[in-house]
Amino acid sequence: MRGRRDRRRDAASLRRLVNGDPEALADLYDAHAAGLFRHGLALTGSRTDAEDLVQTVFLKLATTGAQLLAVRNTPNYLHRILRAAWIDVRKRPSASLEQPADMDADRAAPDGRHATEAAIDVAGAVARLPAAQREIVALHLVEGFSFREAGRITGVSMFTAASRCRAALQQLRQIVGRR
Amino acid sequence: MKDDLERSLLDAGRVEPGADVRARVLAATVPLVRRDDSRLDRVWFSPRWRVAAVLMLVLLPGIDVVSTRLFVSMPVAEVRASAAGTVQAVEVAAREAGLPPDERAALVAQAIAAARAATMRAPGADMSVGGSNQ
Repeated sequence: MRGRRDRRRDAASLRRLVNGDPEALADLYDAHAAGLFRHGLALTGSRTDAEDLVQTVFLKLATTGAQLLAVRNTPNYLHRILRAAWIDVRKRPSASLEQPADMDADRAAPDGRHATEAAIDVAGAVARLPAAQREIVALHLVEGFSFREAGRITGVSMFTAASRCRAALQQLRQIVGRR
Repeated sequence: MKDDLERSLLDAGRVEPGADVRARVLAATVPLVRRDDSRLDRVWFSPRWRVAAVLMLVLLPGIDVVSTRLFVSMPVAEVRASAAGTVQAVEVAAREAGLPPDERAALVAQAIAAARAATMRAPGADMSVGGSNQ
């Protein structure tokens, strides 16, 4: 979980960015890129697309200007940009996003195990969830956002976020055969 | 408490972007970073300015209501002291909110005008804030 010190550091980085300090962008990247990448991976199922989404987030950050001074919760803000970018890309007729099935390949064990074997792997099981459930799993269980925050990022109520998470866990338990 | 599945999810979910991605992203974005010199935007989006604006919105009608009710029955000396205190409070609040000197001066001038009007409404008063009653 991110604490008050992290929030202060984020706010300071945003102020430095508005003042034209490029190092601030590197600091924000180091603090948030991994989480954003995982969110992107949950949405797109593809490493390449997730990396593109991360780049889109930082492009937006680099060009936003003084509006960044009004940002109160940096991680929420960045994850919302990523989600908006994902929606934008999906709307384009020439959408280049790969199919979520790609996630299985990306997350397959390095020794090249067959997909059915990898299916018992938790990561493989997550890949078989619907995108909305994968997203909540990534935001709540992996990134540590509360249901309220995850709901704000994904544009649903905290109850819907909680219910998606519960459904995802139920489905995962069935897939991996655990109780 | 996290169960086994949630712990496995946490472990499995800890994937990171490729090592080259940082360099690629920063190479594409750093040249776009510019100092935002739009003074109006910087003031408008500054949290301190927003807090100061909200404070003023709450404070000024409050001062007006309080002054209308209280100053009528106050002796002239108290009215003058209270108005001067209000002006001073506005000046301190504006300074602490980090407003530039010209905006601060404008706010204080408004507060003085309001205080002067309130003082004039006091029974038997014929004076200005900080001035003589000649």
